[in-house]
Amino acid sequence: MRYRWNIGSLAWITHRITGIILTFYLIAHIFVLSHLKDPVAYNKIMAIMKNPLLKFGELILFAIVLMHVFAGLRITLLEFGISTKYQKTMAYMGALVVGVLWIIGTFYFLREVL
Amino acid sequence: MIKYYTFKIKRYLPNETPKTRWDEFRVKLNNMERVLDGLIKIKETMDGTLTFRKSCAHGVCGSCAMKINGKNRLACQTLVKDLPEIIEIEPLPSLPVIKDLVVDMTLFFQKNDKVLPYLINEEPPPQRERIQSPQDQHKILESITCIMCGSCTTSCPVFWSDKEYLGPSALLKAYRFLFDTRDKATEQRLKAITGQDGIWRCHSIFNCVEVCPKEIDITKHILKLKRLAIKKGFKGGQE
Amino acid sequence: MFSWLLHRITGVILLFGLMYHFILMHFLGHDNYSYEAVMQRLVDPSWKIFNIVFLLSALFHGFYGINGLITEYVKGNSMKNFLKIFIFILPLILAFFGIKIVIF
Ligand code: SF4
Ligand code: FES
Repeated sequence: MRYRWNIGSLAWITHRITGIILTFYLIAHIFVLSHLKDPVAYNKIMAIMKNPLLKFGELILFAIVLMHVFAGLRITLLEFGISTKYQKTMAYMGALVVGVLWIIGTFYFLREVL
Repeated sequence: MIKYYTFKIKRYLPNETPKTRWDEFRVKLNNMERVLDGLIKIKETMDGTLTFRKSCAHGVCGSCAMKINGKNRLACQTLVKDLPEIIEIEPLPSLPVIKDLVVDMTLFFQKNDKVLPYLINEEPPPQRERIQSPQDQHKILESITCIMCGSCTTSCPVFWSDKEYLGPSALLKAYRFLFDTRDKATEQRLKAITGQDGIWRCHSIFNCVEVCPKEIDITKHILKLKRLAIKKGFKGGQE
Repeated sequence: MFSWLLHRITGVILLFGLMYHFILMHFLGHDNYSYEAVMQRLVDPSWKIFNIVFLLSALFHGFYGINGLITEYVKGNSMKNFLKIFIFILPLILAFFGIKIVIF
């Protein structure tokens, strides 16, 4: 079924999809970390993590976290009393902040790889 | 200014065939006319089998809500001049279609019944009516203007996937009585809307606000309900 | 309602936790996530508390979200109930593993 999107429903679907991805990532993250007790295994994983491809993956993860955080922040602020008059402004501002933070993040990530 | 418009209408005629199809009609309309005028013209001069609901034709009864160009609105309140030349018309989403643009609203009204849409006050009534001050009335003024057209509930993505959800229209009705100073059944009402299928299912998507023909900020009201429920520490239901 | 409120609260906890996590692990250079550095931090009790709170918040927040998804998208009551029990147990197991590594 086709239905017209607007900024509110776009924010919601982003929030939802990134949320699902993050929960799965969380499961994997805990699982991996809980198997890292001795330095050998730890350093091995860390060496793998240096791979530029995985670094790029981390950047995407960073973007997903940012999107989820700011979509959630908007909803929480609305729920705790910010007027719904500003819901659209908040959504656009959020998208802007996500973009800016992600670019700053990219800079740092790149510095680590190079 | 008179212009030709193409009406693309999603047809469903269960007596002929169980399949839906799209029909196209070319209609000449001036820029003062509305989608409803186009539909009436089609029914009267081109295809008498076209079925849709209408009554007041002035945005008061709420019977002509349908999906026009991807968005729920009242056919009698949408001027054709505000639309592109091709006008796509479908029945309201996610409710069972009876015929063409007529949907079965039973589910929608059942949700409405669940929030006890009547005044509850056991106190003996005064000599004359129960007086409400203008300030008190002002608190619920916006929610009173609802005409129960069903646009909001059927535009809600949560309602699309979860038919147990009460939906914006019923929650707005709950607000209308919860914030009515003459009503005394706060506990009972909160219980009805704080279950698993009540206010906690609202994710502030604003699709309902986007479509309401009475321009009610429904989400604002639901958010107030959430704050009220939190303040009263109300649990209700499993969640 | 309490779970709903807790979902919001853990959301805010995660916001600050993640900020700290990201800055420490990624922006402040390499030394912070060598094996020795991580282990040294784990010994510190305040870090233990931070880690456990962070872990539990994340688990609750994530699985409350999934619980909502199941309510909204899964059709059929038996399937719904099965999945709900499953996602009640799964985070408990994960919490066990997580706390184990933090404490020992
Ligand atoms: S709140 Fe608006 S969209 Fe919803 S039923 Fe009432 S009038 Fe229609
Ligand atoms: S016909 Fe009454 S609202 Fe459109």
